[in-house]
Formats: sequence, C-alpha cells, structure tokens
Amino acid sequence: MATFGKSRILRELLEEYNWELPTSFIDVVFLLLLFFILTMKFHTLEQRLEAWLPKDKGPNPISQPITRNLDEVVINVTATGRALEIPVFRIRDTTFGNTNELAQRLAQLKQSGDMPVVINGRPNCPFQHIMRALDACAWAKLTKVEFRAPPAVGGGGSDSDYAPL
Amino acid sequence: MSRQNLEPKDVWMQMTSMIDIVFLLLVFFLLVNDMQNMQVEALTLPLAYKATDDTTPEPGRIVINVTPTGEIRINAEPYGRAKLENFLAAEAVKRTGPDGLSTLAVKVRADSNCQYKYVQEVMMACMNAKVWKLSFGVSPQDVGRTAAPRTE
Repeated sequence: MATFGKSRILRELLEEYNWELPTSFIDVVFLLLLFFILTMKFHTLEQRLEAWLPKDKGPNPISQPITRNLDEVVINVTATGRALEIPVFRIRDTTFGNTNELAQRLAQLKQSGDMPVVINGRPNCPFQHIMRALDACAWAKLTKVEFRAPPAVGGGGSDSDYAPL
Repeated sequence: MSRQNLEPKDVWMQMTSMIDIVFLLLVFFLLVNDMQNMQVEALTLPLAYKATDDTTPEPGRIVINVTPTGEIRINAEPYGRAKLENFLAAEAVKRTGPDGLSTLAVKVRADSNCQYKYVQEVMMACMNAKVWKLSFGVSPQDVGRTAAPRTE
C-alpha cells in the first residue's frame, strides 16, 4: 500500500492540476484596495473642554439667593485685525495680547483662592478666542468659570464691557 | 494493484459568485462608513492645551455642530433656534435625575471661525431646556510646536 509520503500517484496528481490564480481576481482586489485608500479619512482625535452651565439660571432656576461676588474676575474677549484673527483679552484695566499672558495672570490671581471667572465675549468675536480664554482658565486650574449671557433683544445691558474695535 | 489512468483536467474557479460577494462587502462598508460620520461634521475646531480626551462620551450624548456661517446641525440635519430648544427640552425630560435636573450631556462642536453669538444661542437653548452638562469640542494643541503658557 502506498503511503502519503512516498505516493507517486499523489505527487503526479498535484503536478497535473496546475492551478493558477485568475488575473481578474487580483484586479478586483486591487481596485477594492485603491477605493478604500482613496475614500479613507483619518479621524482627528478630538478632545473637549467642560463648561457646565449654572443650574440656578434659566427660565425655572433653582431657588438660591443670587449674590454678586465682588471677587469674580471678568475676562472681556474681543478681537482685532482685518479678519478678527488677533484675540484681545482684558481683565479690569489690563490688556493681554495672547493666551500665555492671560494664563499667567489668572494663575497669579488664583493664588488668593479659586475665584469665580466670567468670560464676557463680544458677539462677533471668533469662537476660537473664547476657547482660548477658557483654555487659559483650565491651564490656571480655575474651575468656577461662567459665560455672560448676551443682552436681551431690544435693549438692556450696556456695551461698556467691550473695548471698541 | 492497478493504477488508474490519470488524465490532466482543467480546473477553473467560478469568479462570478466571488465578485458578487466582494461587491456586497463593498456596499456594506460604504453604508456603514456614511452612517458613522453623520454625527460629526467636518469642522475646524478650536485648539486647546488643557482639554480632556473624549474617548468615552456619556451615553446618549447629543452632539451639536455649528458651522462657520452659524448654521446649527445635529446628525446632518439643520436646526433653528426654536426647533433646537424644543428638541433639547424633549430629550432633557427623558433623562431626569432624582434631583429634578437633567442628566443629558451636550457637546458643542463649533467651528473656530464662527461668531461667538451663534454659540451663545446654542448655550441659551441648552439653558432654557435645563441642560447644564455642556462641553465644547476642541482639537488638541501640539505643545511641541507651539510654546505652552507658563504659569510660574
């Protein structure tokens, strides 16, 4: 009886069936590969900045006494430049031209305690600058950050917090 | 023992059914890919240093996209101010905690060049709908290329 290792019959069988991979199959595989490469979009890793809204505001606020904190720091955010690409941050009478200076000042102010911060942005200011201000607060490890609401439509509120562009 | 007379035979594969399977797979990947990207619009997000990773979002979180022109879109569908408020209010009611406050989380992905007033509208809509868990989508700032602010 012929065994597998010594079988001439089996060896001849394998040699006779000369199986070639069809060329069209390779073409299909490469076309598919090309398609997925061209349509693939690398997803940029996103992150997030927490900005929880106050629970005691809105149409039905929680009943809490509203007190004005004299120690709160208001960051006025405006922009200059032709396309408003240059941010301008102002805390009281001091103006900062970039996020670094703002973060340093906030860190200095934080030495006296985690004071509340209010970001007061001009409505036509690019959103990037608002996020820079929020990022500076996060860098200085300030947790009590709020956003000032826009003035009501038809009047109310003053524009004195904004520096003229 | 007799040997069978083996003659060479032509062996060929049925390619038609294999191509059908390949095209079915192709259609499957096309549809799945499109459904995954509906929630995330192609926007230029603002840069930030101190942002947290967004790899584990809250279950049922709503992503609001704000385009550079101020258009508000959720799952590729445009929303006006009133429609957004009604939608958020309806979703907030579904997820209410024991303290009566909504546990709905909202992520605002606004383009870095869009005007702040459009984002303010979204924030006001969230506040009116009693949604307080708000976060902003940002891109990580590469500390190696740009000098990080010093707080010393």
